[in-house]
Amino acid sequence: MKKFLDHVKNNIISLIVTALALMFTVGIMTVFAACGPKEDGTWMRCHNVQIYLGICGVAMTVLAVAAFISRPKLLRIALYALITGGSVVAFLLPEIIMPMCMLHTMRCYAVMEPFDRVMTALIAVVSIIGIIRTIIRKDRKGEA
Amino acid sequence: MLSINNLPFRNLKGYAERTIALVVFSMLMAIALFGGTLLVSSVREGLKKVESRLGADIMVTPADASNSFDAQTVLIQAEPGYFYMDSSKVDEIAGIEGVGKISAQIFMASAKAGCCSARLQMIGFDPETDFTIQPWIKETYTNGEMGLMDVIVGSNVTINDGNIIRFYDVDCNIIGQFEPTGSTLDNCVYMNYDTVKALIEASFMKNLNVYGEYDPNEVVSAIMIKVADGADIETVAAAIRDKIDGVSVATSANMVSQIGESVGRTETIVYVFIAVFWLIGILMIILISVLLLNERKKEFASLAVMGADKGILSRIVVTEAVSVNCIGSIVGIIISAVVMIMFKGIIGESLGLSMVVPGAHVIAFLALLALISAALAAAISSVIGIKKISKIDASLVLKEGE
Repeated sequence: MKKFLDHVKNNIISLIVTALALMFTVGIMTVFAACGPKEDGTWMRCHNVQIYLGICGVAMTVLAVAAFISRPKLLRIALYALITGGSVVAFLLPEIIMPMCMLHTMRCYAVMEPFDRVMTALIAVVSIIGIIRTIIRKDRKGEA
Repeated sequence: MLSINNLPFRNLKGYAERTIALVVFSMLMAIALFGGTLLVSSVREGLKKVESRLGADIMVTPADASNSFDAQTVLIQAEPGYFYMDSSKVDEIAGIEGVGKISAQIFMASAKAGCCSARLQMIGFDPETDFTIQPWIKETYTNGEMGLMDVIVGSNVTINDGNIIRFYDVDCNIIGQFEPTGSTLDNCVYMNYDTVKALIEASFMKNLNVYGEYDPNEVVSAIMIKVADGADIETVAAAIRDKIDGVSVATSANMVSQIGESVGRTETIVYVFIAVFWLIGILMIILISVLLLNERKKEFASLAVMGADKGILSRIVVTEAVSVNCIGSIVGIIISAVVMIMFKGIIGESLGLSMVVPGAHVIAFLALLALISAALAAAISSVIGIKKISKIDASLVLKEGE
């Protein structure tokens, strides 16, 4: 137990990233989802953006869990770098990479996009802190 | 190395729970003060922009349009629509005493876009007589007059596909975009008479016009009026109501009254909210500081025995209070700014208000105000703390419990 708590203490950054990525994924699929379906049942253009953001969120969560579990320093740095990259892509996806609906008053712009921008910026910042922290920390036994 | 300068920061780190509690309360105070004042400034800015953009003193619409056009709510919530009256009404109204400038507009609404369920309100103006839209166009588009199929869009309309927007399978060139007003004016597309008439014809061709077919040269949707110098707006509006049949007359005061009332209501609620949070925050900060000073009597007595005079002890108390309040306030300001700026659309919609976030200088001023308020809270809790430690008799305190 003590060993696990020590591990948690030493890897608190990856835990924070995991929590943020999980919040992002759940949020983007539920409370902060894009516009609903049209009257004819077909989905609006922003729905695709939501799906891609969901995929990014799941990927970032898995990578963050991997960073929590993994011990080799280089691997952890690589995982944090991938999370940073993923968060940058997720940040740019709505409107910049993929077009969304026609009016800025619509849900995809008013709710989903701001949530995406805030959360991905946070994930990127914390991941970069994770990279820096991993680099400057002294090597421990068993770490590459 | 331990020194008097870094002692307050070591104390803050050492008493982590107390520090977090104080930071949370000062953060809540900053959120209430900065977030609240930013909200009020945003709705005031929205009202100011809408008032200045209206341009006309009186707006005349067909009486039978009342189902789709409510003058009191049209600026906050309006579904795109179109309605018409005979264009001869323009000349009839122009003859009424007190009418200064007069210009008609033709409305049209887009069909639902392929991307989503959005429909846009199109407003066609007469370039010869218009005095409400063109002054704003000149600020946005300086390359001469708008040509056929040129449009200027409101700030809420997204521009994709290389500045082309398609209505009824007709491509229009977006030549500019207006600044936000926080109102339904931001959801409109502005064009000249020739363009709107071409789009009406296109809607006939696609069989998507609710009125079937009509001659777009014989109809107008709204007549905008600026009263002559010295004329009273209400008197002119009453004269139009009396003399012209089948029209609905709204003054600019009517149109912004709903927004004005909402602004007043919001201001009251926000100020009460700020006062309550500030009071609770400051009381909690004082309470926590005083209770902890009681617990820290021995610490201060020890410092006094080691030679720290009252000035040094006061400096420790003040530095701790200022640091905690500054950290809390900065975090609170950042959180409120991010939420208010990023989620302004949904906040405005849920409050039923037109909101335009003010410029950076106003935001900076409000942030400074929140920081000054944090400094005030720090000063109040420091004064109480200093008074408390000045009463400490070091020898008595250290003898306690021996």
